[in-house]
Amino acid sequence: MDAENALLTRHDPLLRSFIHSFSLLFAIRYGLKVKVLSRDENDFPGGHAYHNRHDFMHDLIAGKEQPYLFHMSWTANKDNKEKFFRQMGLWYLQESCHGSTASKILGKEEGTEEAIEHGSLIAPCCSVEPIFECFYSDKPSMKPCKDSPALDKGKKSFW
Amino acid sequence: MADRINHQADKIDGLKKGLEGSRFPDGTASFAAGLVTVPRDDFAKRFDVGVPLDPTKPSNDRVVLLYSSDAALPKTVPGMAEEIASSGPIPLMDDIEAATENCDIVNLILAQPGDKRQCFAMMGQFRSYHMQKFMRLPGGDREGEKLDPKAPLRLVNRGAQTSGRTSAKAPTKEQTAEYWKSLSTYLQTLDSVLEELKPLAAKVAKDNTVIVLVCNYGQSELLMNFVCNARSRNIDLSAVLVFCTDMETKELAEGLGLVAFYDKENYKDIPKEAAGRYADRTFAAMMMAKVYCVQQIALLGYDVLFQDVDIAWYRNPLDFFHDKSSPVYQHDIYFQDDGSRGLFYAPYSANTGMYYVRNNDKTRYFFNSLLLGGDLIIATKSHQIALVSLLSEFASM
Repeated sequence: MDAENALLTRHDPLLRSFIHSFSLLFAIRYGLKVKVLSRDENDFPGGHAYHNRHDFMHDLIAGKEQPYLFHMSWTANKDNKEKFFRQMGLWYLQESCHGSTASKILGKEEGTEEAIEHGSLIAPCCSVEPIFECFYSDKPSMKPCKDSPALDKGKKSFW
Repeated sequence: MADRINHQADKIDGLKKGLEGSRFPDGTASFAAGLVTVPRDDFAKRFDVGVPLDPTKPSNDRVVLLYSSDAALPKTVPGMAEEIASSGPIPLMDDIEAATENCDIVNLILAQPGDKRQCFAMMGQFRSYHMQKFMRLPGGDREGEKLDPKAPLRLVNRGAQTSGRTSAKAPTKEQTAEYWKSLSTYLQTLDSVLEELKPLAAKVAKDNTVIVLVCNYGQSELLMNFVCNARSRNIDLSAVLVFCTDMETKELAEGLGLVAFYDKENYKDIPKEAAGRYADRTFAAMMMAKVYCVQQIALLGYDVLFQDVDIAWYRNPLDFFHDKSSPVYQHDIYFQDDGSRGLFYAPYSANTGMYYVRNNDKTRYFFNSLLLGGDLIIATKSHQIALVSLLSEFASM
């Protein structure tokens, strides 16, 4: 630790001691057993499968594959994540609950101390059926979205 | 016909001569004594290092095994040791156990297939478990320029790319100072936060596992969708504990029937809005929240399934990680494969949006270390890059 960095921690003995032990031990190898669940297997698919493994995505939509979960990674922002979820039939949040606080959804006055009842948002917010909508023809969708534009220029329709 | 016979005879003579001579000269005798190839699939199965395996192809279906001395050569198969040590064709052994029967140690190098102009050097020297990399990247006043085949080879960091990018940013003094300020608050409040968290974790834990999500108001629709989606499939969410970085999200999470936690001291500077794009300022702040929550639950002694909110469940993933009959049960930590094979994610390509951690000294120390190296997360604006670089240090299997 250089002198300037030491200044940062001189008022904080706990931090100083923590960082000291970190420096001493960092060079030791621990034999941590790591397992990465391969992108080419089907239990934990994500954005790589969504954008690149269309055969797998067709099987998933047809119910031939039953992964544990689907991670909408490889997607730049929340808006596109939602669009992809919607056209995959994985969107169940009612529009009325979109971008709203619990108080607004339940019609309570904002800023009051009134507690939000546990589970009280399930009925107004959760749809029983997926809320489907097409956005992009070239991205996997539970139903054909051939009339929608392609997100990636020149890409063929998923269906 | 006579020519063909002569040619075959020459070939046999050549092989005989080859068998008589050693493959390696005396100058490498202390670390190189013979070569064999073994099937890649069998080798990878036997020596699983946890990386997501690339598919085996005809040009990459064998592994080269280099023996350091005669004592390491396999002896079970008659004549094989001589063939391996000879200067004749490199033999293939199908039996991995036989091929490694006298290897007390196997050091594994993962070589990127398809990189046409790369070479591997092995030099006798005090052991190292890191590879050193040299590249023809221009230095000096041409630093940062792309690979030039005429430039001299020079020592570079492992993240150096042919484009000239180094894929690594050491934190600046300012970034470290900024982070240590947050870290100081974090450590000073840790005991009281853990006291508050303790009953919540105990309430939700299932088979000693807590499912941890972290969310701000800007991402709350994704959290809500996660819950609604799981409910539509009747999947139990009682093991979920949501770390909410603002009160609005806490109310939404509790309204959806989840157990939620809000840490006023440590989350007060985290923006409420959604990240505009990957690696922006909000994204980076949320990355630190991702470090805090897992470290805290690990300190309380629980296994952790951490996941981002942009996930939809088809089945309860705990069934996978709790399955003691699974061939991959005996690991400390599991990640989803990011899918990207960018150099900065090598060798694991671990996606930090979904991972499972078994609680033990190694994993707790791993997350303590990630916490202390948080300035790297600030510098790279990536939880994933910092975590993956640490994984390599901790694994070294």
